[in-house]
Amino acid sequence: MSPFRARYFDGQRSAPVEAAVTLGDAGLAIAAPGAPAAWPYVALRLLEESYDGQPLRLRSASGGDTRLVVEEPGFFAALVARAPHLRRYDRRGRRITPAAAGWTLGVLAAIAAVYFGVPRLAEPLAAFIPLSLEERLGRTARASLMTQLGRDMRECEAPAGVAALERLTARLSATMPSRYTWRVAVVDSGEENAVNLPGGYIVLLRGLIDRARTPEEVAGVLAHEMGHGLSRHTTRSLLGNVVVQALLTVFAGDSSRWASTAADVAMRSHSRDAEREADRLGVEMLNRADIRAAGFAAWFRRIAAETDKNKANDYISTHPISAARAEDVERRGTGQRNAMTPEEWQALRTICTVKK
Amino acid sequence: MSCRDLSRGAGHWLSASSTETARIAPAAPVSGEAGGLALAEPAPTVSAAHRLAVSARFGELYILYMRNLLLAIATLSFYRFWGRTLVRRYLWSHVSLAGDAFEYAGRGLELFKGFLGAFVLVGLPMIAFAFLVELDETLLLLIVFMVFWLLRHFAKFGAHRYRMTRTHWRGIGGSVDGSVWAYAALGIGLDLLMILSLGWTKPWSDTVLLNYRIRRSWAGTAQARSTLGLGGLYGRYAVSWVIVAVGVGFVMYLVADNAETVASFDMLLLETVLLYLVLPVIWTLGMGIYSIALLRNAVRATSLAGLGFRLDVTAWQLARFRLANYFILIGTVGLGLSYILLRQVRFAARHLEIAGPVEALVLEQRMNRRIRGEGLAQYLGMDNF
Repeated sequence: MSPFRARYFDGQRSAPVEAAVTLGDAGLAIAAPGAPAAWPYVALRLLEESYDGQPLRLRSASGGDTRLVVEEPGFFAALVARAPHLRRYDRRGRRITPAAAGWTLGVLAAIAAVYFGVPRLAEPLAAFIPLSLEERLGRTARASLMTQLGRDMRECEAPAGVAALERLTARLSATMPSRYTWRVAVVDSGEENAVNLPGGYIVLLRGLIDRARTPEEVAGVLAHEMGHGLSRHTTRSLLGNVVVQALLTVFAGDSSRWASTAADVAMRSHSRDAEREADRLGVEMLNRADIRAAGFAAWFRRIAAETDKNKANDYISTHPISAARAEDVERRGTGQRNAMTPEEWQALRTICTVKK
Repeated sequence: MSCRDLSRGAGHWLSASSTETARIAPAAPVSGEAGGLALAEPAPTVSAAHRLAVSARFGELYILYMRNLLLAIATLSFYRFWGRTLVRRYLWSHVSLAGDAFEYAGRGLELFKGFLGAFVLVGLPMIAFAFLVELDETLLLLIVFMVFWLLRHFAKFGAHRYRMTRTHWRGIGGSVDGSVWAYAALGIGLDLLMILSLGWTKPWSDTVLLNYRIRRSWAGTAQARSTLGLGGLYGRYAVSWVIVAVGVGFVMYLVADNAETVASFDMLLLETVLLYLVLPVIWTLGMGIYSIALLRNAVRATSLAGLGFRLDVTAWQLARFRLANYFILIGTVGLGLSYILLRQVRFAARHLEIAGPVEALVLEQRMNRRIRGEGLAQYLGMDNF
């Protein structure tokens, strides 16, 4: 076999040395000044996965910084017969488009599987969490919520108010059995907001009750938050955050910034879905308890109107408001009765002012 | 979110200069153009300019990238270190100088070990800190952000050193002297000054850090030199600073103002547009005025083995290039990254002029070069390549 022309780099200086390479029995024989007599086939390594049109660049596992570059076309075919461990990615003569389309489909399928699979996975995963753990999570979350609301934030405990709220909660919870013992607390904060926490814990802020015109408004918001609890939205989103963070690293792999942007948008759409589901469950509970949903709808409208009047409202930062939601609630509401007696409503309104 | 990381290119193979500068981002003078070149050797004439040749093909890189992505998803992301190594090998080996391609000698296992090390040394203590010390959430986030912001210096120097030591040309490897600790201490000190000065020491900080990296970089026994100074940088930085401050302030004002008047759904849309479309444009255009000057000055001020360098890019060209990259990435939800990588390499090769005796260039191997891993950069995910 005639020798192949090659360039040899001795690893000391970058100047190339003309060399003649022949394929010997046990190795590559290199005829060049200063070159080793032969490189054993088993020790041969490609510098990189060589592609179409590139010269073949070789080193030896024991050859340090020395390099051999062969440009002659037939060389690789002859070499690979003796050194089958060398792999080359040469797409010459093959069309790239089908392969590219195949890999794209594969990636899209995998992303879709993750995107749609994870929320589905989070549900059984959330169900797998023992009630006691979920309740402990809820207590911790409530404690940290209290500190966030302000120093010395206290729970309102006027007995008549607490009793009225308990009766309303019992009436609503009886409509949809669940594993939770609902613990609804009013906190003495002027903000108008309500929060669902894991394990059946719900916190209403006094501002919400202060500004409500009817007890049905409060009942609607409470049912909505219980809807979140029944769907385990909060627990799931806590879990989801962990999972999403892990997934981000997956996609992050090479483009974390862009992946997190996409995830941000995805999370927002997930949370909108959750709001709709909580609305739906809330109205269902009101219906079964035969409580008028008009109050809930009126509450949406009032908030929207207040927002128009340029008034800051804390509820909307976590709960999207739109006229469509109010209409939806109104359309589906079938209840006829009040949520509370006037006496109970009065007691609830003074739950924070009357001392125990 | 900025696009400042988007314009790294083939400069890695060459020296510490062009590429690394692009990341640091902002600062540059109109007048610095002429003053930047002060090499010890006689200045090479532009007519003798060489350029890097790029033979990479999009189809091949795309398939490689998609394959890596799929494997990364299947392995809960662990494959990414090996995938990244393959991409680097592809890119390095498709960029050539004087007829010979560069060689990337890094290994996936090295990146993985670097990641693990950084996770144990930085990630775990941070997690433990978050759990053990009961702090207000905002304060905690702020602390975590600050720590990671300051740690970027370790990552930056580590990544630079790793790439230089894993880059070979005609069998001769690069190397980097200096200590990652000294560099990070310097960087953190300069950061503190920058905070105290509301950003006004940034041009000075940038040149000090760049000079540290460039002057400690070697190709074989040839040590890079840099004469990078502040010449002309401050004028442009002032313009950038004002544009960005006014622009960011205005966007934040819009976000805050509308939070009270616009219903939430519309608010989300508005916020998304402002934060992901308007802000990046303001940032890229504003900071671009400075960053292009810093980049050009640094490239011009660098010399290596008798070669001089020049970057023939205008601020507008670079800004357009970066914005296009950003919108391609957003538009493809990150899947177009392989295309961006190729664009960056081609952009760098097209605009980087190399003057001097390229054909006659002979490098000699530097003995006892220190070879260390790239840790923190992998952990912080600072790296697109």
